[in-house]
Amino acid sequence: MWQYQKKLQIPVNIKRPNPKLANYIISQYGGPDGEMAASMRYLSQRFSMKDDVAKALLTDIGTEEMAHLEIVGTLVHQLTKNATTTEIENSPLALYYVDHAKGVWPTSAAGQAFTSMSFQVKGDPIADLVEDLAAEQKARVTYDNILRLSNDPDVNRVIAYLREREIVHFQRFGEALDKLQDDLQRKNKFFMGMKK
Amino acid sequence: MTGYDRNKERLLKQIQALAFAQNEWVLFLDTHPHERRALREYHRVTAQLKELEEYYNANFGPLTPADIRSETDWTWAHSPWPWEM
Repeated sequence: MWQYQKKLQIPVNIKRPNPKLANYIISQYGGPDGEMAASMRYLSQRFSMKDDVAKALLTDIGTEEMAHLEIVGTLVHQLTKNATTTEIENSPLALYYVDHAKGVWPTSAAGQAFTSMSFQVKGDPIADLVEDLAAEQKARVTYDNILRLSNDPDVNRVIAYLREREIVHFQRFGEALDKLQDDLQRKNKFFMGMKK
Repeated sequence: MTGYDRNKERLLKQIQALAFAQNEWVLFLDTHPHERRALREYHRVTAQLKELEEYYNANFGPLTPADIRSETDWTWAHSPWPWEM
């Protein structure tokens, strides 16, 4: 189960409102490669894992991604809370504002609502771990894209941190996949399908 | 451990830094469960973190509902919340 600690994983203090930037960053809240997709993917995949390494890692990285989701939500909130209606109206966030005002709602930057379709749980350890490696790269690329579109140093500091975490997670998932494949090799099994 | 900050924001930053280190050891140990040195480092960071959290909870407000000290106020629900700090 989950405990909540009343702190963010890192401090987030945005001084300048920027609804345009909020609209870009919201993709890491509810977009296809964002933190909600990541946490739901990992926390769901762990149920069908047999290996303790996989179960522990998916639980712990899944939990960290929820902490990141909170950070991204905080960014969107702080970037919009003091924005004027005119500033919002003249930004790509205008359409979002119609339905959500300054609320934080899971959607991609282009306006696609959050969906489980952006991640997969195959119930197969190799497929699921390989998916996780791809997921971390996709998240990293999305943060790269956001950095290219932002010149706010307070925001960029936070985005650069989140980007770096994806790289570390990629490393850990690689190690879990290695171990899984070593174990299968040692038992002289080639995992081609479902075991009954 | 001595020499930690008595200012709320700065102490919270120290807690965040230690909790981050602790989290890194957790992920590393998940994929390297037999690394004794890593486990020692995990325990070391955890002990330091506990001390800082005790001070924070006693002086600035509960990090979790289990850390509420007040017998009269539901301090858990007091602002600011983390996204407002």
